[in-house]
Amino acid sequence: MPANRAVAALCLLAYLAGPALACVSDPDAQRMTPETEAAPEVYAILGPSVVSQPTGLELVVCPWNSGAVSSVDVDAWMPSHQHGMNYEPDIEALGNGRFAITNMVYHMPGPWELTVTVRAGAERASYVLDMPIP
Amino acid sequence: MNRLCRIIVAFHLVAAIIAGPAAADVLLTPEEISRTLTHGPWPPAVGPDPSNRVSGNAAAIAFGEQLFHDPDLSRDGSISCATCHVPARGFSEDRPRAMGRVALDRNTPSLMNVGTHRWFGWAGDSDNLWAQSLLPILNADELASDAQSLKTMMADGPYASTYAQLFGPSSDHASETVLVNIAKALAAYKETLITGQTSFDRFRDALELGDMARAADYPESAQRGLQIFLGKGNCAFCHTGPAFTNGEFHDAGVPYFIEPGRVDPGRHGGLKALLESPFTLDGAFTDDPGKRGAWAVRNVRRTHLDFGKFRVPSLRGASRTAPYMHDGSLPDLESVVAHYNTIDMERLHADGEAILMPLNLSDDEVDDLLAFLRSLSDDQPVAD
Ligand code: HEC
Ligand code: HEC
Repeated sequence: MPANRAVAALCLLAYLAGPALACVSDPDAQRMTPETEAAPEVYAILGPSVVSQPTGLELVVCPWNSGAVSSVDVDAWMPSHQHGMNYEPDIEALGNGRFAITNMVYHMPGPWELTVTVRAGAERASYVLDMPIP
Repeated sequence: MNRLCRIIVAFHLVAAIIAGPAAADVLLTPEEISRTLTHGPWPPAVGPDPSNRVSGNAAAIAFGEQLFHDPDLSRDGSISCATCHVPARGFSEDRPRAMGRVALDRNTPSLMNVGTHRWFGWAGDSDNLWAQSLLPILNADELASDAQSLKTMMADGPYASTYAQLFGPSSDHASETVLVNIAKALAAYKETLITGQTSFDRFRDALELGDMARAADYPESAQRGLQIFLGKGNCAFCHTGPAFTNGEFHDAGVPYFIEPGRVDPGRHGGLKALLESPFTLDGAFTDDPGKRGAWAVRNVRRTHLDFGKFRVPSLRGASRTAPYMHDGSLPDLESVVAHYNTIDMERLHADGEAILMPLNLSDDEVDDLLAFLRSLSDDQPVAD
């Protein structure tokens, strides 16, 4: 089936292309959209997108001018339903700008938005990423 | 990436539908089919509860079943668990609100599939099944017993040897430990209450196998009802997954007045009880040193939106458990569908659920939705 093979090839291409990486090499890393253009790059590597079960993600914050990242806040909400999560996620610093986020619970299927705020010294930037939950 | 691959899967499904011999009889689109698959398989594979060392133990299950039916567990031998949780009614009962020593504020929920929940009770007062089981034993309006009486009951009398066999001699145990152990035996029994395969499940499993001829056995009316459930009815936003519940708390527009001037605080009250309880998965009475599952009680958020929210009920076996809702205010499934169809937006909290709105379904669509809901209950019911 040629049509099918073409789609499969596209699938592979999309996989190989990946994000244009500055400080991340993970093929699944997705670049988060910053609130301000000058903000350093932040990538999210999403865990399984399951409904109403605890899942997680890894966050990679590329180097900042003002030095080490002092804190990250992570949350998620459903803009179309105007509600967030029923649980506070746990955040663990892994070093090198990497953070493991656990106990994210997307309790409804549909479009969610991941929101992240990073602080380093006096600098602060916020990011979003669209996250469809099936 | 993920989406692209899902499109490929969908493409194959369309091909299968077009090629299949009974093509005209499966009405679902590939997208609807992939969403249907998320409501199974059933029954789910659930292992023993790590917080309960007698979970899955045959002797404990038999002991729990005896206790469940024994009115001697109550202060004056007048009430057992089965007084309200009637086996032939899916372990619920036909009165709107439960009747203990006085009239209670809520409807007796079904105990079928109770082991699959994350939170227990309409407001989620407990994060595990054994903790929920000791509440009615102690509640002054229900069994009205106490830990000391249970310890005496287990010391001599018909249960002494079974108790000792399962947990060790009760004389070695503090009365609170005896209470928790009894609750754990009750929980072991309730974990075995699971609804069977329904015509919906046979449909769903046939779709998964790509067996369109077998899938087409599922009546078209139920299929159209399922399409409404997944689509314009918005039902599957809250009634998700194999048990048709996301296990969380929502405001479905049911009034929360118990009587004029008195309201049921719902999840707001449930969280208060939960966070004060010594019997959570994060407490000293769990049998799991790794405290699995304790993340939920540790991380759960409290907000003003919790007020008047109730746990989304499972829809499996629901045909057998009328009346409906936390207050038993809707007498049959027809009334539930009519409730969603003409929902009173004034009753929803100002900043409540943004997905509920009057559906304006036609009479035929209402019948289809009901046919679908009933198809979740056509398994073999539990005998009394
Ligand atoms: C007087 C009637 C009555 C009696 C007796 C009774 N229950 Fe219940 N049960 C209820 C009501 C009402 C609720 C809902 C409570 C709530 O939401 O706060 C309930 C809830 C439950 C739940 C939670 C179900 C769920 O879906 O989360 C469990 C488990 C349970 N009861 C077990 C028991 C056991 C075990 C006994 C005996 C020790 C018992 N009940 C005795 C009326 C009763
Ligand atoms: C916003 C989430 C939400 C949506 C959307 C929703 N439900 Fe519900 N449903 C609930 C909650 C919460 C309850 C319990 C409400 C209460 O007791 O106050 C409930 C109760 C029910 C019950 C009663 C079950 C019982 O055992 O008492 C049925 C049946 C039901 N819903 C079917 C549906 C159908 C059909 C739709 C779509 C037309 C739907 N629901 C949409 C959250 C939802």
